[in-house]
Amino acid sequence: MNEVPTNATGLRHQSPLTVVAALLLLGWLALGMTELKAQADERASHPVNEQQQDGVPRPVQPGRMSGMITPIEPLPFRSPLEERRFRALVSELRCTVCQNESLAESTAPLARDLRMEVFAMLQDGRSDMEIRQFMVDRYGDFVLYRPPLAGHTLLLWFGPILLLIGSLIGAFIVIHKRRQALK
Amino acid sequence: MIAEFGQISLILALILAVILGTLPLWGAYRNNDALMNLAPSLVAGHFVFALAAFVSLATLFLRHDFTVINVATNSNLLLPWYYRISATWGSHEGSLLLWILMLAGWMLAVAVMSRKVLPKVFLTRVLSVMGLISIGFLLFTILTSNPFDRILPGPVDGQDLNPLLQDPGMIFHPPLLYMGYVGFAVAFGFAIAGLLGGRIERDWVRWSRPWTLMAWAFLTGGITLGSWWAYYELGWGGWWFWDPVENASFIPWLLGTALIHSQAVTEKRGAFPAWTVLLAIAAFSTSLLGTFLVRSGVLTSVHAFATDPERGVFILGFMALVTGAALLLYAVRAPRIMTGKGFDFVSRESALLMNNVFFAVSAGMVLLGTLYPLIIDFMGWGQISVGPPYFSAMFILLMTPIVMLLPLGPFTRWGQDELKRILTPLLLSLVVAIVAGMAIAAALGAFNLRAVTGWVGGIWLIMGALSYFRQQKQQSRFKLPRGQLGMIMAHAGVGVFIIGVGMVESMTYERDVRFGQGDTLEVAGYRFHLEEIAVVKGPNWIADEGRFTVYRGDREITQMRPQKRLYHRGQQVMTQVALRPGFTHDLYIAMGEPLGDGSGDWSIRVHIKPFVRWIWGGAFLLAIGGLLAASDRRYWRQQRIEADARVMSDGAQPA
Amino acid sequence: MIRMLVPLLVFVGLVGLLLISLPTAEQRRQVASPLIGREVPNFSLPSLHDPSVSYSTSELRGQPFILNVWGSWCFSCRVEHPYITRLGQEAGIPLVGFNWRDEREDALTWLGRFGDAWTFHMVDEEGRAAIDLGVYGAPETFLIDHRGIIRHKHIGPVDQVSFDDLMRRINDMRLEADA
Repeated sequence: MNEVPTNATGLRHQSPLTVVAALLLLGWLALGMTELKAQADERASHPVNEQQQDGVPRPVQPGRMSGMITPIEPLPFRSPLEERRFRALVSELRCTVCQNESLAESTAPLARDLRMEVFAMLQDGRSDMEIRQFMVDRYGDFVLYRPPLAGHTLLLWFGPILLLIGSLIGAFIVIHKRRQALK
Repeated sequence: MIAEFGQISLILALILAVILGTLPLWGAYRNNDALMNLAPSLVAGHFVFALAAFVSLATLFLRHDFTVINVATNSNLLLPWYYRISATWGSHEGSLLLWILMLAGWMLAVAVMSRKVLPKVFLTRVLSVMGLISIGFLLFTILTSNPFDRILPGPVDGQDLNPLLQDPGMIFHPPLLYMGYVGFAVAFGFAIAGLLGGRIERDWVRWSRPWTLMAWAFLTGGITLGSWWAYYELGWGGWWFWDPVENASFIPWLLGTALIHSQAVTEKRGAFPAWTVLLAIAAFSTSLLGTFLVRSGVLTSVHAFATDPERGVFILGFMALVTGAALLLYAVRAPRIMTGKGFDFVSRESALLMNNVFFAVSAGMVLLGTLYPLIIDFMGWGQISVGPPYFSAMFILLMTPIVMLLPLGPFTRWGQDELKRILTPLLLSLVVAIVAGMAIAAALGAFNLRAVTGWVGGIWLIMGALSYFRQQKQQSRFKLPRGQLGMIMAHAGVGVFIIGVGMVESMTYERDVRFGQGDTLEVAGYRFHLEEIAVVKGPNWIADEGRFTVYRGDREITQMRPQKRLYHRGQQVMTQVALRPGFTHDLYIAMGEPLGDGSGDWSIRVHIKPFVRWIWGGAFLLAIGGLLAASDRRYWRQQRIEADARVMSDGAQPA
Repeated sequence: MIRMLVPLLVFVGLVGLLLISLPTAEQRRQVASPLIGREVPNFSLPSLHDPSVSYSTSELRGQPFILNVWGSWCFSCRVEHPYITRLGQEAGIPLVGFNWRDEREDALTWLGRFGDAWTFHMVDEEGRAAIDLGVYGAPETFLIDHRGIIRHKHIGPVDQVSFDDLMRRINDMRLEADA
């Protein structure tokens, strides 16, 4: 056993990990293959002769999960700034009918109505603050993905900071004690 | 028959797990060799039956056996074979089976690979503790979520696998993620075995390091794959959403990151033994917590499994038992004296302690934010949502200091060091990072706070890692050990990741455009030309496909074909994004809807995502670095002799 | 020893929180309206049966009424229909239908098929008034008192239990209005 050349021992001892690495590699290869396969499938798929299917989205009921698509709407923004403000607003407002999705992500009709409302208010020259307040007045703090700073959210906003300060003080004490052992 | 075979295999695996969790543990306590010798064969048998159950379910899916409820609800005749295999773990029941198989696999790997390395008493304890964990999951599966339940007569055809899961990324994301989650059970087993034995922590910490590194690397890989999948599959172009389900996987990752660093201190210097034990317990416990959050429906999430409070109660009880017992054992047995040599404020120990403080606090923050709506509800203070704005702001706040100090860590000596000595070799990197970072950001037309921070920080980390590599190369005549190489790679990976994030979060071009046949959009030097919108058919779907030709200047560079698919079964609509990946930016097109005003125009989303690949590239470097470090021969050699020597000196039986 | 027990205590707290939160998960999915206790927003909407007529909430001031949000596309509205019919017959106060995001023909057909126990229907085709009301799904049932204050909002289909609860609240409101 001791006589085995270092190299061979090394190899023997690495072998399980080499196996893991090889498996990972195979996994990736398989990933590549399936991707290729999927692409081949796509290539094999042919245009259908029948009339172009009517693409009108099926009516989705408010109050139900809307499916797995993202709303895409070209809106007539007046400036890139307005567009940025719109995107920031709708991605920070929660869609109340959905399972944890923002207005920007949801295709639910209510989410669309609310997006249009936000857009209309932006065109109206209302401030971000006013638009958020508009939503809160109707749906409560629940719609804000950025919870307001208030009595009941103090722990949320300052908890991590306090925890950090406490931990740093703890660490300082530990190091200070361990310094004594140096001498 | 196959379903019954799988069912019986599952029950046999449970029986073996029960024996494994009791007899050898008793043997280890009484130093009974015969009982301890049972452990490896039990582990092997347990694995075989878990595998048999898993293969049975996969076979049922492949053979379209719709008399099995799980097959009937998650697959149909049109589903291609590779998605029928991945459908095996697409549902709640099947994913539990995968979890069990992974746990059995890790146990087998520990039994095989650590056989020569670990003292028998210790190995037996580790395997028994993992056997106890397996009992919980097997019971959970058999009692509340049996994948082999039948329905007679079965339907002629099944429903469909959720189209979101019909994707190559989804084939590999769950297995990798579970490899990570379950892998922390190994670190957990080692920690409990260490506590049970009351032995000096340095030993078992060294033995458990490669396992922890592997689990962490898999978890990193799994999370990365999930993020990548969300990016191209959801048609939304985001890469991280701070959804409760994502947070559930991120908390163990943060704690695991702290753990692999604290293990280094405990192994090398014997410091913070209790803390390392606690982190090992916490990393696995939060994996269980994640399982609970995802499957109980206690939180509202976009991609939770079909949820069931009864299952929630079971997992919660199981978690309370496992973690509660572990923490009680910790309270009784954890080492209370400060061990190891002393260290100064400026020292590797302090540096790693800082890493632990920031990562543990970040994990606490994510946990607090995720559960805060429950606290508010419990206190009767109404309803609030805690979402991405909170998490990103807090996370950036907590991570910035530690990431900026990261390059100093490897240069710092154990025990005592001087700031000047550490900084000298890094000065060049710092200057290069600031100058080059700002220059690159300016050259890319991205001179804003996020992009500049991303570039300066990223280059600082990469340069820091490289200069450490150079210094080590110069100082040692031998090849660098893999542990060092892995660390360097992972730290550079963080730099790559930060550059990606800084650019994506500040410079993404995103617009929803109205497109008709023959329309063209010009942006950032590209011309997107819509040739036509055609109808195409796949194996189990039909789609509207936009056919874009993309030009750069006058040169045609690519064809892009985004689709809007309608899956036949379940009638679900899905966006299939067209992507042209690139080193510096991705082109990304998603189909919206026909605008419905009779023009035949569609709403189309066009993204240009700068450096988005760097996010996953950096994370991939982290994962590879972790695996590389785990393969360091130091962990797999020669320890037996030392260990045996110690066991003998303790007066125990030689293993 | 005490110090080593801290992680266990934190964990026990966590498990306690999760255990308490588990049965109330369904409740948390319903977003409580901030409008309860406030005045009903004023809007004027066309009638379903006769688009030339329009109704406004301010006209209803002075007596309590029920506002029921529904749509012909809404499956749960069919589920609650028998109880809504009973409300129309037994409540003794106006039952106002709020037809949300619907097609007029569909809505009329639906009423023709299942029966119309509502006093009258307002039509909110665009969903603007619904936003002001904080509606986020159908069905929803609002109780508004004689001063025009929203007193209660029931989310989801009305069943026997919520029917009894609604009737109790309606009787309270009627007593108040009479006093």
